[in-house]
Amino acid sequence: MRPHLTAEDVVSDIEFELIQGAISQDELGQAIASVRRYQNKMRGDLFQQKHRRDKSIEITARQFQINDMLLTILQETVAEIQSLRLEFLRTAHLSKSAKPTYKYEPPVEKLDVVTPTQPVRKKQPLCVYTPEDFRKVENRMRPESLQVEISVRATKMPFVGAVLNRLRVIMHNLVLFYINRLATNQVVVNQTYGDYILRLMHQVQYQQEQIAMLQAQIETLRASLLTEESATDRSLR
Amino acid sequence: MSTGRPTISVIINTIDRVGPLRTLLQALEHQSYPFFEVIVVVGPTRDNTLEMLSEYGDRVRVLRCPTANLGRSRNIGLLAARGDIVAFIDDDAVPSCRWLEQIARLFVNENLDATGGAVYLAHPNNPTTQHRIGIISSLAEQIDVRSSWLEHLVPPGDGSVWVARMMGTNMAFRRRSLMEVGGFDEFFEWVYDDSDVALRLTSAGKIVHPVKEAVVYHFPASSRNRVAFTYTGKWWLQTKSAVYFCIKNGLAAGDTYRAIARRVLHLVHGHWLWYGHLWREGKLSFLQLVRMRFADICAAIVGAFLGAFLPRQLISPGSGDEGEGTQAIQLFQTNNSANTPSVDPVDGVFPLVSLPSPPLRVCLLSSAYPPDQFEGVGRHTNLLARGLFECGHTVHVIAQGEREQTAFYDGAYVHRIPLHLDRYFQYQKFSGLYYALNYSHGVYEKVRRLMLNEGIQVVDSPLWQLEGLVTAVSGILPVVLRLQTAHRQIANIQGDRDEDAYLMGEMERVFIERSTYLVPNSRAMFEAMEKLYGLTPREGRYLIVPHGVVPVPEEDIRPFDLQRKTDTFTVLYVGRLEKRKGIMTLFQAIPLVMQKVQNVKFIIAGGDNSIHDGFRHQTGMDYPSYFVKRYPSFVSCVHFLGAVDEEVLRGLYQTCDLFVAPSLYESFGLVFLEAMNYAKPVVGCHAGGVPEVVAHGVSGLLVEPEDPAALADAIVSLLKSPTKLYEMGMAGRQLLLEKFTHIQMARHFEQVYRAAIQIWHAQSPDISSEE
Repeated sequence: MRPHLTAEDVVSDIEFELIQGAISQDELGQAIASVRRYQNKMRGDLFQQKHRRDKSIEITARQFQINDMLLTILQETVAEIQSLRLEFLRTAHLSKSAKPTYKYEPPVEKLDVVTPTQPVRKKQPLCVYTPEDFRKVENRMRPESLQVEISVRATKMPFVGAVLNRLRVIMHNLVLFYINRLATNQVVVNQTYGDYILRLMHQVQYQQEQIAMLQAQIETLRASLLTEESATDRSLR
Repeated sequence: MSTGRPTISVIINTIDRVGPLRTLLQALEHQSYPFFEVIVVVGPTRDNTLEMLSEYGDRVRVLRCPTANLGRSRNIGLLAARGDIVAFIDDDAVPSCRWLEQIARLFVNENLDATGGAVYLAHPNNPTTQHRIGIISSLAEQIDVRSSWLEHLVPPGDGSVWVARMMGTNMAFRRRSLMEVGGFDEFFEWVYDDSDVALRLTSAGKIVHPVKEAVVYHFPASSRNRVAFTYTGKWWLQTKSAVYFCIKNGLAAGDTYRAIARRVLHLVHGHWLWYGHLWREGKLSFLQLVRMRFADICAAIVGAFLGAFLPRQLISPGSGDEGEGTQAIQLFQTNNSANTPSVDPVDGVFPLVSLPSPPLRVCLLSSAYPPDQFEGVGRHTNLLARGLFECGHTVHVIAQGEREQTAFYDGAYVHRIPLHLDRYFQYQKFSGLYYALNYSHGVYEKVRRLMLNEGIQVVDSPLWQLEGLVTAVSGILPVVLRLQTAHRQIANIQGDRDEDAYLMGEMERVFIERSTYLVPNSRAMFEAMEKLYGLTPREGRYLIVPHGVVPVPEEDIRPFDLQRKTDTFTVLYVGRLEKRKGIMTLFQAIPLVMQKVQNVKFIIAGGDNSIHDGFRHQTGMDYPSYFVKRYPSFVSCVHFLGAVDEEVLRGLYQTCDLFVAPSLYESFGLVFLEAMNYAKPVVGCHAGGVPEVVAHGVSGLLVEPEDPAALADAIVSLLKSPTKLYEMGMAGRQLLLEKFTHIQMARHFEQVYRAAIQIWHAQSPDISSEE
C-alpha cells in the first residue's frame, strides 16, 4: 500500500533536523537547550498539579509563550551570526586570494565599482542597532514588566456584596502571591536571555562593521586591479 | 620568515618506550599544522630510544632528564621550548590529524592561557573516553568526562574551589603564562602535575579552557610505574601526589584543616579498600597486598609532610629560551612528511609502500563491525579498512556500540556510537525507518566531529540501513555509496508490503540520488538497482568493484586430499538461516543427496533469522526445529552450529570438502570467496552477483535458484569426483589471488575516493574554498 508520506517529506524532515542541529552545536546552543529542558520540566511539573483550572495556569502558559518567543529570537540571532560568519569567511578568502598591495581606504562611493566580468552584487542593508533597540530589550527584561496587578470587579449585591468582594480580593491576592513569586523567578531566566541577546546584538553589529570594512577593501582592490589591467593593456597596445 | 601564526613546541617526555615513541613521531608527520618543533626529553633510559631519535637528526631536539620525574622532565622541555605555545603529549599517545591546528586556533584568543582536548583510550581491549573537559577541586576530587560545560557545573564535594583541568596526555599552554606561574611543580614524579598546574594558573588569574575537540588517542604502554592493563604498579606514587596536592592546593584555596584532613584520610582509606578488593578478586597476591598497603601509608605520610613544610619546586619565571617565531624553531615536518603512510598505533607498524600523493583520510560506515559482529557488511568494511591501511591510508570506521568509544582495530580507528532515539518522533510507527534515521543522524554528528579532528575527506557508506543518508543530504562531504543488497530487494523476496518497507525503499532511492559516487559490487547488482530504482546511467560516477578478502597463507589452505582413504564428506553452509539465503532449498536437497551418497555430513553455520523473514510467523518454528520435524531421519547427519566466531569459521572452512550456499539472491557472495580462499570448491546459484564470483565449471558449479534437485545433483556430482573437488578448489584459490584480494579492492576504492573528492569539489566550489 502506498502511504501518504513520501521520500520528499522525509528528506525535508532530515533537512529540518540538520538546521536544528546546526544551531545547537555551539556552546550557546547548548545553553539554550539546557534552559529549554529546565523550562519543559517546570512546565510539566506545573501542569501536573491538581488545580488545573486555576487561573494561574493561563498566566503561566502565557509566560511560557513569551519564553518560547525569546528563544526563537535567540535562535534567529544565532543563525544570523552563523550566516555572517560564513559571509565573513568568504570575504576573508577573497581578500586573501587577492594581491596584498592595497592601502586601506574607508568605504566611500568606490563600493559601486564593478568589473565587466563581475555581476552586480546587491548590497545587503546593514542591520544597525540603535541604543533604543538595546534599551527596548533591557526594558522588556525588567521585573516590573512581569508583575501582575490585582483586578477584581466589585459586586453590587446587597448585604453579602462586601463580604464577597473581600473574599474575592483575598483569593486573588493569594493567587497573585504565587504568580508574582513565579514571575520573580522568571525574571532571572529572562535576564539571562536578555544578556545573551544584548551580547549577540553587539557581536552582530561588530561583525557587520568588519564585513563592511572587508568589502570595502575588496572593492578597492578590484578597482586597483582594473586600473592596473587597463594600464597593462595600454602599454601592450 | 614570520607567518603570523603561533609556533608550537611539542614536548614529549619519555623513558624506555621506544616503540610507542616512534609511532607518535610517525603520526606527527601528518599534522595539518606545520609550524611546530618537537622536543623529546628522555629520562634515564635503558632501551634504544636515543638511537632511534638520532635517525631524525636535527628535526627533533633531544634533551636529557637525569631522574625519572615527570614534573622535572616537563620543566626541562619547557625551558628549552621556543614556540609561542607548548603542547604536551604522552609518548604512548597519537594525536588526531588536526590536533595542533585546533590548538593554534584556540590560542588566537589572546586571553587563553591553557587548554587541552579530549583523550580517548583507544586500545582494542578496553576502549573508553578517558578525559573530556574535566574539572578538579582543590582537594583532588575530580570529574574527568563531561559532555558539556554546563554539566556538573558545581559538583558536590569538600573542595571549595573547582577548576577546569586538562589531562597530561593532551594539554597546551601559552609558554609565557606557564613560565609566569613557574612551570610544573617538580614534586610530582607521576600524575597530578597536570591538575596542579591548572589550579595554579587559575589562581593566578589565567584562563584555562579545555575543549571537547583537539583529540588525542591514548594507547597505554607499560612503564616503570605501571604494567599496562594490569593492577601492577607503583600506585603509592599516586597517593603521595594526591596527598601533597590536597594539602598544597587546599591550603592555598582556603579549605579548612578539617576538610583537608578528612580528604587525605579518605584518599588513603580508599586505596586501602581498593587493594583489599583486588586481593579478594585474585588480582593481587597477599604479599603484594601487604606491600602495597604499607607503601601507600608511607607515601601518604611523606606527601603530607612535604605538602605541609616543603616549598614548591618551581622554575624561576625569568629563565627559559626567549627565542620566538618560526625562524626560532626547527620545523619537524619535511617535504616527505605529507606522503608518509599512516601508522598502526597499537603495533607501531606502518605499510611498506611509497605513496606518490598524500594518503587519504577515509571514513567508512558499518553499524555492525568486527570484533563484535562479523556479518556481511561489517566483514566487507573490515576487509576494505585493512586493504586501505595496507595501501598507506588513514581509515576511520563508525560503528554502533553501547557507548561512545574509540578503538584501533585491524588498521582502522573504530568509533562506536550509541543509538539514541531522540529525533524523528513522527516516524515512530515505521520502526525500520525510525531506527535508520536516528542512527544515520548520529553517524552524521560523528562525521562532523571527525571532519573537525581528523580532516576526513570522504565518507563511504553501505546502502543497507541508510547509514550515510543524513550525511549525504547534508552535503558536508562527498559520500561514496556501496551498492549491496537493498531493503527493497529483501522486501520483494520476503513479500513485505507495509509502509515501513515502502518508505525504506524510497529513502534508498533518495540515498542513491544524493550520493557522489556509486560502487556496486557486481554488474548484476548495478543492473538490479537500475531496474529497482530506475537509475539513470551515471557516466564516470560509478565503478564496479568486486569484494576482496585477505588471502590466507599457503600453509593454511586445505585443498581436497586425493590420497585420502576415508569416504566421509563434509558439506558446509555458512550464512544466516533465512529464506533469501536459500536454506529451504538446501533442506530439500539434503535427502536427495543422502539417497545417492551415504556418508555426507552437512554443517550449517549461521544464526536463525526465522523471526525477521516471517518463517516463524508462518510455521511457529525456527529453521533447525523445522528440519528436525520435517526430516527426522536425516537429523543425525546435519549439524546446526548457530552463529560462530571467526576462529571456528576458519576451522570449518579448512575441514570441509565442499561449500554450498544456494542463495536466492546475493549482491555478491563474499562467502564463496572465503571458501575459495581455503581452496574449496563451491556450489551456488545463478543469482545476483554470484556468477561473477564463481566461474561455473572452473571453481565450482552453479544451479538455478530454488531448484533442490539440481542443487543435489551438483553436490553429488562433485562429491563423487575427488579430482574435481581438488581441481576446482585450487582453481578457485588461483582466481581469488588474481582478482579478489583486499588490496586489489582497496586500490579500486582509492581510485573511487579520489574521483569522488574531485567531483564533489567541482560541484561545491564555495565549500571547498572555505576549507
